[in-house]
Amino acid sequence: MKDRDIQAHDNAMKRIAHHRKGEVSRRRMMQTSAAAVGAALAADFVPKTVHADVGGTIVHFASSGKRLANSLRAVKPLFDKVFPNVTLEVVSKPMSEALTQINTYMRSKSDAFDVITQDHAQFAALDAMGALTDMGPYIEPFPEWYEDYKQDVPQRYRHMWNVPKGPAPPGYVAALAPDGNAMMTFYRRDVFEKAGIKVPVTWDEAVEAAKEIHDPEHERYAYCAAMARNFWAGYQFYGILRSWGGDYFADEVNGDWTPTIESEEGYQSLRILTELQKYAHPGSANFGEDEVNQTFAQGHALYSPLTWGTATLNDPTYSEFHEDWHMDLTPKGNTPKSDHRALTGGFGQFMPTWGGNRETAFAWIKFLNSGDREDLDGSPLIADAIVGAGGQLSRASTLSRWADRKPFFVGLQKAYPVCVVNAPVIPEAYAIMGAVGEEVADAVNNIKSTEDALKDANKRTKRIMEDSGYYD
Amino acid sequence: MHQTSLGRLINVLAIIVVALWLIPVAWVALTSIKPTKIINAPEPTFYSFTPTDEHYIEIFDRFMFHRAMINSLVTVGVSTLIVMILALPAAYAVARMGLMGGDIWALSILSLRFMPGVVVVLPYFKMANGFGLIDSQLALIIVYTAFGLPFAVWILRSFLLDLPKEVEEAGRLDGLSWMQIIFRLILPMARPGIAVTAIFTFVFSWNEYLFSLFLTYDKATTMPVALQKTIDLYNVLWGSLSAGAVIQLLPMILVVFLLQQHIARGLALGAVK
Repeated sequence: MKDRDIQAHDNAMKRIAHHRKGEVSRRRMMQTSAAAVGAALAADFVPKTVHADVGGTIVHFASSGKRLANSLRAVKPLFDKVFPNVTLEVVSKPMSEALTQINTYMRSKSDAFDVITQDHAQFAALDAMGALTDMGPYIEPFPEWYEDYKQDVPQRYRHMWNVPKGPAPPGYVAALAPDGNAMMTFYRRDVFEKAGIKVPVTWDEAVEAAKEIHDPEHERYAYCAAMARNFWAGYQFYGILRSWGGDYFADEVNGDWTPTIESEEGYQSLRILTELQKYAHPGSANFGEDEVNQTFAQGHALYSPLTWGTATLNDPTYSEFHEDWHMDLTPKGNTPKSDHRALTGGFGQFMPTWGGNRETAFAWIKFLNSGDREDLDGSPLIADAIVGAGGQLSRASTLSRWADRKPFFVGLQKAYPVCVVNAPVIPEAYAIMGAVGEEVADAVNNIKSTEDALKDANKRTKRIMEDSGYYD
Repeated sequence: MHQTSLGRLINVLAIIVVALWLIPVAWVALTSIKPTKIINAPEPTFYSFTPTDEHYIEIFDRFMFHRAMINSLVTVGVSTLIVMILALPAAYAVARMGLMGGDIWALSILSLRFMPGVVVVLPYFKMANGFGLIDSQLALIIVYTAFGLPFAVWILRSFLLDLPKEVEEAGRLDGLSWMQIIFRLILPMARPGIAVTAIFTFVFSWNEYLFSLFLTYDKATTMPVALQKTIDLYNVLWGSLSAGAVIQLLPMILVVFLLQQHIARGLALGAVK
């Protein structure tokens, strides 16, 4: 099964290259548009069932980019074969603007879109706007399909899409997500092997490893992370805080919104970040994730114990270090409450309240989330199309199938079972991340003491929550 | 001799300044033909690489830049034409027809341009949504016309004020109507000013991002928004971004070259005071 699928994908890629230049070039293949990947995969695809009874037009809005709109465009030719009477349009806006643009459309109760792909971090806000639809009734007629989905997508990740209450009480199914991501350790295996270091398991080991491999004289800085003085630094802090057993609030699930940032776990987290900063790339304090990845690609940074990263790092056309970058679990603290807790995020598909053609829209969402299950009306090529277009997956089985060629997927496989949501599931999450991030950056850059930064982060978080009426 | 040395020095300084201005443009052009691996290499290079067309292929293939180009040309071209047709009589009225409080009128018109786009973009979005104009070229043409007109009137007015009144008076004595005076007498004299105004109007709309972002999502998307799509999640596609930037720059360079005589005269005559 494994060999056959990989063979199918390789053949598709070769066919694309052949069509274009007559000469197979891996570089050329990687540049191929997602639609061409999908078309090539669909060329020999004969679906077991054709749903000619389902029809209509659906418009799917997604952010531009390989992981998002491109993945959808790659799957579309396969979907077109299974649902020949459905007209599917995939439309997109720039990644950097799309998340807020979606909220604008939803705030305006726009009926322009039937399916939308959105970042999980925005779902609490969407819920507050009344923009989400419970997919439960649409899933119900397909128990076998859903059982397979539940078995394959790790529970912690799957429950994240149950809004409004987040992971513990299930809430309702607001979205299904074939895409997934998690914060992981990124490390240069060649450098670690040369130094005789294993991938750090605890944060103190991470600091030691950074100290060992730091080589600023040759512009090879040990550590790099998105520590810009905004929500990026907030993510770094939150990721470490969770691994020490801390959180932003006393009990989010049960509605105790007392901020708990000023705590022993908070102190340990800031201590680690401050220690790591000694071995940081000079730009790290102002970096977002795209600059971090660029620095990794250029070989000027060698290690990040906590980053979102990108699967593109393993693309041979992207970096000369593509074979050296490997991914693993993020470290944990060394107290009894500590554990590996990888912050997770991703993009899920929801049906906006004001959209139309619900049954058909759900048929498309279900198809996208079918992974390898041809026998369940999906296609074994769906995952291949997504990966071929540059996407990354949430289904464990498809991650396994690609693990031998995608180190990024190995990291995801390890991270999903221990993942936690990347931010509190409330509309105020971004504002809090931003406020805490500013305090964290000030402490790490020695503008404030650790104690003062934690105290102020607590105070600012409480004020945001007060202003939103959480304590009334 | 002294004059010549000073002249040479000024020339050298001018070349240095121009070179400094051109370095980023040259770097963007170079990046557009570098393989991605070279763009991400540990050491930047100016010349030691084999040029590639992969980013130009990608920008058209994956980012549908050809469609964005057509949209830009149509929306910006049509709106510039409408602006110029409306701006000339309006500017003439404000400059020459002795309107009561002519300066206040002129300032009031210009004040519309003071308003930041972000203040009105949401109302525009709501209106376009209500009229079913989202993702249509028409929505952008309307907005670009509305935003381009005040500035065009203002700069044309200042240019018209510099034209000799005697010609118009002679025309009036010969029995020409206002419109005949504008189109038969003023228009030929005002060509440099009109060219400069048209270029400014065209450039503002050509580079416009905010309204295009809000009012389009696919079929009517213009080049600046399409260019932004090369910024992927956690990863900037520098090669494609540079290729797109070069393509977006080319029509501007072409227009400026074609109209350079008019621009020089227009600027010298004070069209953009």
